[in-house]
Amino acid sequence: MNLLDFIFRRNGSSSSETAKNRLKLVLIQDRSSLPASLLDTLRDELLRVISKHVKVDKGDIEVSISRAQNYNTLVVNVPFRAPKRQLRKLATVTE
Amino acid sequence: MGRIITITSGKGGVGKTTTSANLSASLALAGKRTIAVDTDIGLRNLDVVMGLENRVVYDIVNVAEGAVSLEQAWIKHKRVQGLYMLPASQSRNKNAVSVNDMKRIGQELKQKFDYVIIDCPAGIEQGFQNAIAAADEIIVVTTPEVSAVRDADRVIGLLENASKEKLQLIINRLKPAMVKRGEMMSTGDVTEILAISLLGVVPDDEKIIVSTNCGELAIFNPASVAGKAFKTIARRLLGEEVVAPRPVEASVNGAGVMNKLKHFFFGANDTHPA
Repeated sequence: MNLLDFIFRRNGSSSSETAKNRLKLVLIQDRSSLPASLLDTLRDELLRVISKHVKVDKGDIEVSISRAQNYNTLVVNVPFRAPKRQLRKLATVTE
Repeated sequence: MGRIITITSGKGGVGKTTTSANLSASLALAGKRTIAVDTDIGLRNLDVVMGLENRVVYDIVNVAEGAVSLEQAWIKHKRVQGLYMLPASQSRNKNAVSVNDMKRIGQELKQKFDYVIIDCPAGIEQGFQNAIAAADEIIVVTTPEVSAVRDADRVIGLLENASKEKLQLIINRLKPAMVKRGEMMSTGDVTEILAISLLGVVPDDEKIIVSTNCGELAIFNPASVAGKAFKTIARRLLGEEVVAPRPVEASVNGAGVMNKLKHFFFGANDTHPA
């Protein structure tokens, strides 16, 4: 935008800017369209890997995708129980 | 060997058929043997835009089925030397032609023409897949509107997945005065979002409707700014073989004194159609 455009434009934001911003947002969603089965597949495979080391219930794993302006984030929330043996040890220490 | 260029858009009504007809005729006028192919089966329209509707006998479905030869089905334009048109079927099912049929027809046409311009139907279904199957290059047509640009983006994604590498953009129906007022997205806005190379910009022009009413092409109307833009775009297509493409500035439609003054002081910006 040049100087005279700036002076003569009464409102701060124009409808073309609104159009551009709306497009950018909708395209982030369109472009990141992932197969619907992806989250289920991820949940199953993560469960298999994590279960080797700690005890996890399948129902506890939350897998989701959070969308930001320029990137997407895979959010995985895995509450797990510590192995029983360790819990017992911990208990004796605190006593 | 000729070049097969498919004109597509995703969204309907953005000017694919008008673009196909005018580019084909411009290429033929430049001495290149050119055929425009209508692949919108069931919704044939390239014939009326080119003023050839009374001469359709056979169509692309007859060719795909092997019932007639290409030479029997294509129509030679009387006014433009070296311009031909292969019509779509109006009555048949849209799945009457397969991807393999199109590849075969495309290969055959490539032997006989310098340019094969394929007018793609709207949408991203079978007709779209057919239209891009044989394409060496793709031109995506959009208008500076949210819905058209969104669909163009979707189509570009599909074309990239289909390993189509040579993609170029035409922005159609740009209204320079609205862009100046900040009421329409500019060429820069659209190219920033779609991120493919810009082949040209066609200003909005009421004379296109007059041309279509009469089955004449806008490139033959000296008063049509859109016709002028299509000729420029055809030159750029040819430029890859002959000379390097160069931007041609067109004057801003309805530019007021203030805009001319601004233009004088601050120089050209991207609201100019080229």
